[in-house]
Amino acid sequence: MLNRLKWIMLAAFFSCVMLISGCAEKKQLEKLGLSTAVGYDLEKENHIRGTVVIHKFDPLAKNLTEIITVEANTSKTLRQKQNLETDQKLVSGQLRCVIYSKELAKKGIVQLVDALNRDPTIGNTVYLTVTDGKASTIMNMDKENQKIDLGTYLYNLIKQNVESEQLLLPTLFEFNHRYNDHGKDPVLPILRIKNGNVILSGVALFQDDRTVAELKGDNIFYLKILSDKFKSGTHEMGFDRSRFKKLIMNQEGNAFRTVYKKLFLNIDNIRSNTKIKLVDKKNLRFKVAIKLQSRLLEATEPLDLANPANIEYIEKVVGKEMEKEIKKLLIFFQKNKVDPIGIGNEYIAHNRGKMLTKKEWRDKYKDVKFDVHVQNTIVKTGVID
Amino acid sequence: MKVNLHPKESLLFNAFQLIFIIHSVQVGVGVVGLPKIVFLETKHDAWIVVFFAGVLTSVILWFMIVMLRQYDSADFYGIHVDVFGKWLGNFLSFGYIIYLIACFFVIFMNYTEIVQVWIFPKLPTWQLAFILILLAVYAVHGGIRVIVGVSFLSVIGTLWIILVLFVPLRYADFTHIYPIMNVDIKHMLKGIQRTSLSIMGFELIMFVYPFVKEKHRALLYVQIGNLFTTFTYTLVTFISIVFFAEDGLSKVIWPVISMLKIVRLPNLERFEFIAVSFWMLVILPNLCLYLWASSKGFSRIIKRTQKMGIWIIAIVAFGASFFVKARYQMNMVTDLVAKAGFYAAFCYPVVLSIIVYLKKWLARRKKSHVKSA
Amino acid sequence: MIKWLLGKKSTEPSKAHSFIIDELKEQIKSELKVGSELTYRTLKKDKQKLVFCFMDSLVYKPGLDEFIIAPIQKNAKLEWTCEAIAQILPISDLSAVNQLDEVVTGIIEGKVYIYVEGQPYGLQADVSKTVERGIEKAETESLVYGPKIAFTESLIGNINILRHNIKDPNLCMEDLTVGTRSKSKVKLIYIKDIAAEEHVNGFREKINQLEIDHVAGATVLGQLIENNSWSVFPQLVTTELPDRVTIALMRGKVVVLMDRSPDALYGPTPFFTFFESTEDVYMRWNMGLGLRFLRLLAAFLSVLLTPAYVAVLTYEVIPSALLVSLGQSRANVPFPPVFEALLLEFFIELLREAGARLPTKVGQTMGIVGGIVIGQAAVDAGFTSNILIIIIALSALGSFTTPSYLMGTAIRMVRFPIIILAGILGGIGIMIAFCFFIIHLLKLDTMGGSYLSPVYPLRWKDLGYSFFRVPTQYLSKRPITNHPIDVQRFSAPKAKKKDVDE
Repeated sequence: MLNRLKWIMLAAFFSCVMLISGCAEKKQLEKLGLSTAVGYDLEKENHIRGTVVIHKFDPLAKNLTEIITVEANTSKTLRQKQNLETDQKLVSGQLRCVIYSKELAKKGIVQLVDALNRDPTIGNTVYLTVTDGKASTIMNMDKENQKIDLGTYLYNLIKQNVESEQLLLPTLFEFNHRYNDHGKDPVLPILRIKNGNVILSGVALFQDDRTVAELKGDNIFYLKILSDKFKSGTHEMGFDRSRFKKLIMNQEGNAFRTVYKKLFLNIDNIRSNTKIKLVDKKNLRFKVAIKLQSRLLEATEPLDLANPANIEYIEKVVGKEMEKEIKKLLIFFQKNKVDPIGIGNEYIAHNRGKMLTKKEWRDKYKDVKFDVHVQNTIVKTGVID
Repeated sequence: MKVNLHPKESLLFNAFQLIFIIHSVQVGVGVVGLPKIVFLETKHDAWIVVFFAGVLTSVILWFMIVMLRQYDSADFYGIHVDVFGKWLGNFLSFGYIIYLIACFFVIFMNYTEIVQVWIFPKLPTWQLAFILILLAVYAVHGGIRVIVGVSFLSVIGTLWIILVLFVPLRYADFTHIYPIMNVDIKHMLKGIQRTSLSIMGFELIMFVYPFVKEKHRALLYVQIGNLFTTFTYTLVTFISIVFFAEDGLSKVIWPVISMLKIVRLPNLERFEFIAVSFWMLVILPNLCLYLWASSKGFSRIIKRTQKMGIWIIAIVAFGASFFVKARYQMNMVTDLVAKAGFYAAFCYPVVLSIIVYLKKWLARRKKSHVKSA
Repeated sequence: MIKWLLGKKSTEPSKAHSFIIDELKEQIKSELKVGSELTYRTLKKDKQKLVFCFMDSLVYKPGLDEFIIAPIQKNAKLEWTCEAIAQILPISDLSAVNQLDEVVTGIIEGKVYIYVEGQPYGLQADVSKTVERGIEKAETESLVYGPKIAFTESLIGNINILRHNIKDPNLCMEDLTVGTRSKSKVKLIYIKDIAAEEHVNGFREKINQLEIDHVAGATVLGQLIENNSWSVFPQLVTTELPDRVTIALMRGKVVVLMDRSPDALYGPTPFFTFFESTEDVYMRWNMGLGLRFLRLLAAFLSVLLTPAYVAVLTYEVIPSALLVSLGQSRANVPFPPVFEALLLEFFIELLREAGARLPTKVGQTMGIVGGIVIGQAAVDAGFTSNILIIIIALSALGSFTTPSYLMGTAIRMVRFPIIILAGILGGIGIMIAFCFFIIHLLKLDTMGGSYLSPVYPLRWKDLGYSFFRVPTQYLSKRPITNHPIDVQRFSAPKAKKKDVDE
């Protein structure tokens, strides 16, 4: 009996202590300003300019988002200064998107990324992006008419593109992973303003934490094939019409095909499997074997697909074309000394003994040779032949 | 002090529960940092090293059980007295009690630190420490049966976290584990030594053994428990290695929690918050068992009630929590305990069991000599 | 609690009453200060005097007239001695007594004391009547499916129902009394070759050792013989359903019925028993399983939902889509989330309590007024957020799904400290409470058995009874938790695999 009383006394004592000592740090949702997007620009030497989009919960205000721009030396000071300019406490738990200006990205962004990593409240799935112009212009764009806040908009924009497999995942986690791997380099999407809207215009290739090159258009598709297992995504290819002469069905009287000078095929990728293998350790020869299963979606000429031989022919031609393109791309990477595919990882995995450092790999990378094999299978041709 | 301990029939628990005791007492605050610590020594072969450490543990467990089987129903304190006599034996037991209390201390302090870093930066250490100690004291007051129950429910209640660990595998890069076995013996041994903080805890079998109902089956269940732990640890380390990049893993402090940051549920974005909170359930049996074992020693050696021992130990541990202020101090204490654990849990029991075995063997020989003569 | 109620019952030496009728009357009168209720009827024959002594309110008058007084008066030849009178009275319950306290007790129980002056002892004849309500449908544990009959306040009636349910000669009913003053009759019921001796003895000892003036009912009796009375969780089940009791008896539990109490008390009852409903048994097993899980989930959510809301609002951990709507609805509310949640929980409890106190029809109106009008107004006035109203309503509903009213109330009460902890420490606070309750439940016991059984200690076979609900052919053994003597319910069907088209 006494024993129980003792417990109750203890519990009472404890609750008193907790209440008196003012509990833990409290953050009430409605008193917070949730920063959903942050942008960094290089202002001048030693100075960066930070812009932040804040989501507020204020039933009276018309605009739910607020944009604040300040300058400082480190990102946390930026936050502090931004905090001075708003009535609500800024927290970054809901941060969705970080934008770096290209200028800044060319100089290196690892300090800023490190600050994101260090903060436990920031999730691992924040999207990192690079912009052509200034980050602040993107964030200040069309302030008045925004329905949802910019952070969420950008998040959805990128997410949609990632899910339809147009982009490599540009999360903070992925960036860290690639940055920290000895044989792999980060890749981030590039944002641009077009007609008052933010669009994705390409992919920035990083050497360590510095942007050194850009990829546009088709090459993003190949990059995606090379570095990921890949389940969807369409691709358009142009060929000389002469190569398909045999296949083109004779349809007399139809003149529409003269719209195009070339023959275009649109291929929808169903499944791809890429194997990069080190075949010759001494000569640094890699075999890049790509297996594609695809669907023919569209052709600008009526092709005779009922004949299996014809399909085989298309497969071969498309495969050859891809091989060429991929080889070009790989050499482009080599020239810029970037390794977004992770060829270095493959090399390190087959190299016993002491682990290669990043620098050692870069020295070796320029001597790497590739054999590219693409095996393309057209498994479906749509509902018609 | 009597060597053998004969608890009441109603206090005994099924040998089957040893699986949960061993597993729950091994898995604690150590495992959240395990992949990083071992990785620092052995690089990407850490998972193999962790597996070997588990195998080594199972060998040591075999030693322990063989030693315990030499007696009818003795615990560690009783064996000490039997082997070394009253004074030296009790002195050694006392040293071991201090080690147990230190483990107790390190567990709740480390958990408090994790909470402070991940959730409440401004939470005073003593507040959470106070709650955790109180919970442990409350449980230990219920005796061994309640503690066994806590470890059982803790294992059952946290099994699902293992399933969650498969989510990071989606972002894995399996080239990281190649080339396999690219580590030399020296680093490997060092790596095994570094696992001690996570794997230790199994030494508590020497304290709970008298309370096992079917003692002849203890070995089997202890090994199953350890196997399960080894499997979990190897899996966790493996996933950490393929998930993090080389330089990334050596940078993070708690790779397991960092890894869970990637998990997102539709109605719960920050999964690691839940994981950190839930980790309390993982460490609860550790706290209880260490507190129980040390207070048991207190009552066995000093011949006072165990309740008194519980309160004294709790107050001492709580008082000590005020002395650790910065992260580096905590690191120092943790390293110290980890080292002590390596000697106390891995090396010493083996030595002790050899001594016990020799002693019994000599005694038997003498007896047969007397008979034949 | 049992500890401070222990103690020996005082046994005063009783004595025989006076053999002179007038003195006897005085003696009884002074023992029983009941005024005009105490009635005497004196007959005289050849100087011999005979008295009937009874309580007016307790005796079935026509019975007394017809079966006691009439035979004595009509038999003119009758010799007025106890033996002779006993021979002719057409009364089944007749006993000879002469101790004063026995006589008095008999009169209180509604018996008639017949005494012929000068005889060494008198006769006690039972013609008592009790005021009873008829058998009605179960009110507190209402069911959709299954028998509707419920226990009443009459012990005899209740036993009658039970006896009809189980026609096993091994069905034992022991007589006990509790209450040093109220002297209520208690029946200890069990099936001799199923129920474990330790449980029967446990109940018997605990009830016998009780030294308390009055026990208000079986529920109170349950509280008195539980081992831990500080806990919010009930450790013995009380039910008003005879079929539930029957099922419990067949599983090897021990039942206590108390006179004047419409509830049966039974044990040992681990935690999960409180979430069992007889409907699970009557339903097809798969539906029963689903419903039982639904109930467990509801109880769990009921405890967890509001604290989770508080924790989430205090420390943001949810995706932005949800966060935005939460934040919007919270933006008007002037209180911190903890206070808001406590306020609304308090409001709901008020509604429930008011609804329970009022007559059914008014109660329903109360619910509508409270739930819809006040709820809506509270949101409009910016008192609480919409989402909290939903959450509170859900958790209130969840707590009402528990078949045991006691457990449902316990679940509701447990919520308050958890809400406060969640407000202080967020998720960690919830976890602290969770850990505490795990330890607490482990510490509890029900009649010496583990309270969390069959989960801890793990008993695979029993899970089919209390946690899951499996098809009956897999339940050939009685639950081991109850330590039944006769384990086998039926011989398990032989596994015989049939091929296709055989």
